[in-house]
Amino acid sequence: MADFKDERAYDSKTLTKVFLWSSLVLLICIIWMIWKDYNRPWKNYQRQFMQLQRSMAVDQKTEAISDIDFVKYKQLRLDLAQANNDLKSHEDEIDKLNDQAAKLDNQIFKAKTVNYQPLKAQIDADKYSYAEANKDGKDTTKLNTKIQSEIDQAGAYTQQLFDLQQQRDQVTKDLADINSKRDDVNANINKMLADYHLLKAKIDKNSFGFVFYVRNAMLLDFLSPTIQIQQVVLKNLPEDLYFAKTMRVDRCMTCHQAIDKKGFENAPEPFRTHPHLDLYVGPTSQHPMDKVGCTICHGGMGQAIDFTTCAHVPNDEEQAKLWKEKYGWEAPEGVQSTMLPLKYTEGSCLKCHGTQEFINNAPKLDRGRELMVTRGCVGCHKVKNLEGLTKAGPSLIRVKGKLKEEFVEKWVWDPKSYNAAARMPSFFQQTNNSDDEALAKTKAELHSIVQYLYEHSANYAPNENAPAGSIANGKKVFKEIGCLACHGIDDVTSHHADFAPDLSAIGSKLSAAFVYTWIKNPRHFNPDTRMPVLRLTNQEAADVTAYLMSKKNKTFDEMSAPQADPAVRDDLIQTYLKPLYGIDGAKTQLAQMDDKAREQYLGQKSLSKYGCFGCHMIQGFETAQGIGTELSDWGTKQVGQLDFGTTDLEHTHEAFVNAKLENPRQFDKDKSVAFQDRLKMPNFRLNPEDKEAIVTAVLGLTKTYVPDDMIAGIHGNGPLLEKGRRVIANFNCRGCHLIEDQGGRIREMYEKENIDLSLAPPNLRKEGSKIQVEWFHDFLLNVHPIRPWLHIHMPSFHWSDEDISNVITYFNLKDDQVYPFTTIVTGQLSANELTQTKAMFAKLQCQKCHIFGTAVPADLSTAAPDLLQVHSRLKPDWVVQWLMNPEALMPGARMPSFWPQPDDKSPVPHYFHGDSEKQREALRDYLFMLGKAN
Amino acid sequence: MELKKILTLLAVAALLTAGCGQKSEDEELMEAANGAAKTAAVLGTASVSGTVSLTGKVPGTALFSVDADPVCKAQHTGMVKDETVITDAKGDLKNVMVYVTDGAGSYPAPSASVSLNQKGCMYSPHVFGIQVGQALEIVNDDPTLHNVHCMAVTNDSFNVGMPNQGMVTEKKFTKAEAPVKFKCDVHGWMHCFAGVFTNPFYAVTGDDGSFKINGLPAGNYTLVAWQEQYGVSAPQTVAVKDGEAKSVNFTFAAAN
Repeated sequence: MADFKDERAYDSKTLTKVFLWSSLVLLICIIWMIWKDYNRPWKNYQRQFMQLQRSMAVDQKTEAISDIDFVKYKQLRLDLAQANNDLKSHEDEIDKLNDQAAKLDNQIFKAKTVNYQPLKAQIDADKYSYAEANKDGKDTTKLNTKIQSEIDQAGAYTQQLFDLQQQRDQVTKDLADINSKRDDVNANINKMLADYHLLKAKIDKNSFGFVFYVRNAMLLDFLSPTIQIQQVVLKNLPEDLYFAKTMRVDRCMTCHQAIDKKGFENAPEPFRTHPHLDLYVGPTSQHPMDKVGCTICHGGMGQAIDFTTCAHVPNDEEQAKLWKEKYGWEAPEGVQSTMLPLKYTEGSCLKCHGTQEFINNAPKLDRGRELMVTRGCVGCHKVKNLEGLTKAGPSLIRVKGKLKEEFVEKWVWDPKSYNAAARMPSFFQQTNNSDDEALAKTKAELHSIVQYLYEHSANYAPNENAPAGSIANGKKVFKEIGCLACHGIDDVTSHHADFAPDLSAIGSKLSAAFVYTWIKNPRHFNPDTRMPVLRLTNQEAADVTAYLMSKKNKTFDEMSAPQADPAVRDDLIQTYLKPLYGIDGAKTQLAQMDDKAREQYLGQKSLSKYGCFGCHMIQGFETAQGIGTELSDWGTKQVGQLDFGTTDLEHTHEAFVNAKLENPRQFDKDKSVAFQDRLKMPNFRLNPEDKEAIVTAVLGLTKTYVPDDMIAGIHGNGPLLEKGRRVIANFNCRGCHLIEDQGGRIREMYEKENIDLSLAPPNLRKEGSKIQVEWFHDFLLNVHPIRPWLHIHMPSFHWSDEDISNVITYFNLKDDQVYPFTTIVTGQLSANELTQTKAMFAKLQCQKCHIFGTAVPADLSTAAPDLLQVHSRLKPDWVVQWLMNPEALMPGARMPSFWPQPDDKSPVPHYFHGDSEKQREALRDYLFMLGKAN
Repeated sequence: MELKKILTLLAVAALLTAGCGQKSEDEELMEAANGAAKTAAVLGTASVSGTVSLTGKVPGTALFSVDADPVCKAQHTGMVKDETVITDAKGDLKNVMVYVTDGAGSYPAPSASVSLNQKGCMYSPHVFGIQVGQALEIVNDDPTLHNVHCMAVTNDSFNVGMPNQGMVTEKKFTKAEAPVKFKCDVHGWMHCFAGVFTNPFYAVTGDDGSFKINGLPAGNYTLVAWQEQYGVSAPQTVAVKDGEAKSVNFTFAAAN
């Protein structure tokens, strides 16, 4: 035993060391792991948010304290002390009452549990025995007597209990009486301090107290932590994972803690309140969080709870830099869905609102979609819900009678040299067709295009020659009459509309005869035009013509048209022929064509190539399909499917579409592409705002599953409303009118130039409840001004019956009018009432402003509509509402309220016993009588 | 063992933090009550006065006709002077509102009301100041219809018809706002302006372009002048001690 030999194959000492160190490392790892988990960013955000809430509550508490009326508070404290003092003299009485109360409580308890309840149980038992005995045919007389006597006894007990309870109530009342003063004062103090107490409770709730530390302590926080992941599960809006649909789970509020809480509008991110709580996220909003969530609009990975993995995408490079520093942000890679940069979020509205004509609360998107139509994007690119609309450019069916060939060549060669604000995009002299060879080829194409257009144009001649006109007066009429609601012109900087062409250089384009004829009757040239008739006198039309003809671009006039080389043309023709006939065949074919045929051939090929018919009506291309890629769900197209070429752009949708709009041809850079295969999308020369609007609209075109019941505009009256809204958009009604409180764009000029807005075109906010449908229909069919003294006036549109009916239906349904929207006039005034109403009408001096039949008011600047038209024009209910509170129906109305609300006090109390409601109805009935009598 | 220790420590820490520095409700409120009494806005004894004048070519007085309404016509002989720009021979500007934009506290509204008259189809005064919460008494002295159309933006706008002579309408403003335009839609020429302030430190210049603001507590103040044609002047700062009377002048440049 002397020397023990360790025969184990290992050295236990070394091993102990290894164990020691490895267990230490393991321990550190575990601690590290626990710490990492405890310290996750979202947990820290929640702790920070508690602190924020607490500090805000502390501030609010200070404010609440400063709002307290301390004079009153001190008085209440004195009252309380006094009341407490008074109570001292009643101590004996109170003690006695309290004793009495205790005694009574005891008696009541006894009466209930010792007397009443056992007896009640006995009765139930006996009743059961009685039934059993009866069933078995036994004699039950005795039992019945017993039950009866028990019931009598129970009645006595109940009476006893009732008496005791009454005594007890009396004691309570006596005590309350004695204490009433103190309790009243206390109640008053509590009422005064209600806010203060609430905030104190809020501060306590958001303090890191003992319970908070225990529940959220490391290792214990798996039990019942207060800091935890928050989420909404959206069963109706599944996420598409290519081959499977899963429930959408949004956890954004785990960090964005105040997204649905008011009061954090200026808090630092991620704790800011949603900027439109009334519309989104809020429980009473149209898009509540539990139904809509976050990612359906914003995109991103809803289940992630880390800044980078949830795929935040910055607005711009500056924000990217900031995020990198602050959150260690990295550009999302390989994720299912990235967030839309905030400035493009409106695009997501299309997921549910795509079938709607305009959305109102998404002005950028509305503008983007409008531009996609008016700038002609949808002429080449098919876009769901934007199909079958009026073409963006003018019809070229009669171009021969409108424009000179030379003008067309110069214009198409470089539209901006004619007018920088022109909407025609630039096809030529772009980055991929500006080398000498391409320049020669494009010149040949252009020449042939124009030859084709003129060959395929019907004849047209203006039917009238313009009389001499005054440029100065024309300029005035042009500005005042309403042309600016659709057209822009460089003489007016306070407002620039782009619904119709900019006319800053129109004198270099058209002949005076054409302009004059066109202004007087646009349909003479184009029966399908949307341009209305403005009902100008011949002199006014001549003046406007003189003004417009003075708007010339001299530099453009002096430029010469590009010269085409017939040899280049022939080469181009051969490139088209070769694939069909081979090299020699192509030569033979070409040789068989004369000069004219060659021009026509290349013209036709080039028109097809550039897709000109997408925007213009061209003979021979009536049924041609747009040449661009369909964009209906472009926003969900895989980034990998987009050809970024050799550009150093970020590989994102927004970068691609931005670049495409900035310079569509840049993707051909460095590539070897045959001339006819090069990118053809023209440059639209968009300003940054318009570009952003279009990008918003394009990014919003996605393929996302949304259940039918969440789609807007397809339920109930939706489709009927949309029909009307389509007419409104197509004819630019909102260029002048506020409709659904949006639009009225010409008002911008009134505001900037400080012109009284009540002289601007009216707000049509309550038109459906205001205007009788018969009158409405006649008016739209045959416009006559309501306020003839205004310079700006509603023009005469050439609307179909269907358009008119759609618009009237729209206005009526919008205002909850009941089909068939007809007006029934019932009011009749007795002789006495009529006398009173006439006197009241005179007293209120309505005719100080309102015209009456042919009478013209003394001061045109304050004149108001003809009262003799009321009976046929206005709905009776509306007249009464209008009289009561014009401001409520039409903000900024000049009509004053004679019965100021909410007092509803009449300024003429001598009539109808001062009954305001009756007075208004009588006035209404009088106006309806008057109109009919005349 | 370890855990228990940590927990105990945490508990003690939590209790300490919870217990420390907590005032009772009564203490907190009484402290605030005493503090509030000290800081309550009190008028001072300093004053600022001066003159507002127009440099450059003084425009001639514009005239307009009020003949559109016979009632108005009867109260004037011939054309009526436009009140947009009124100067004396030296170019001193009438109807300019001078007020403190910075440095003054909030003061409770005085019980006396401000009166706005419609007489001879003109507003009188043409420019006036009023405090938040102070009553504005609008009177129609004319035997014709007027409507008082207040075009306030921050405050609630209103538009009241006043068909009777002697009729009075009372209104109050709830927020500071300057200028607030009033107009009559029956008589296109009628308009006037109010300034709504949270303190009484404002004045409107008289015929000689002079103004005086009294009752300023010692302190530093920023003042501006506002004129309906020329807008708001550049701000000027002034420091006053108790009892001191300082002078500040404003000028507007006439458009040539």
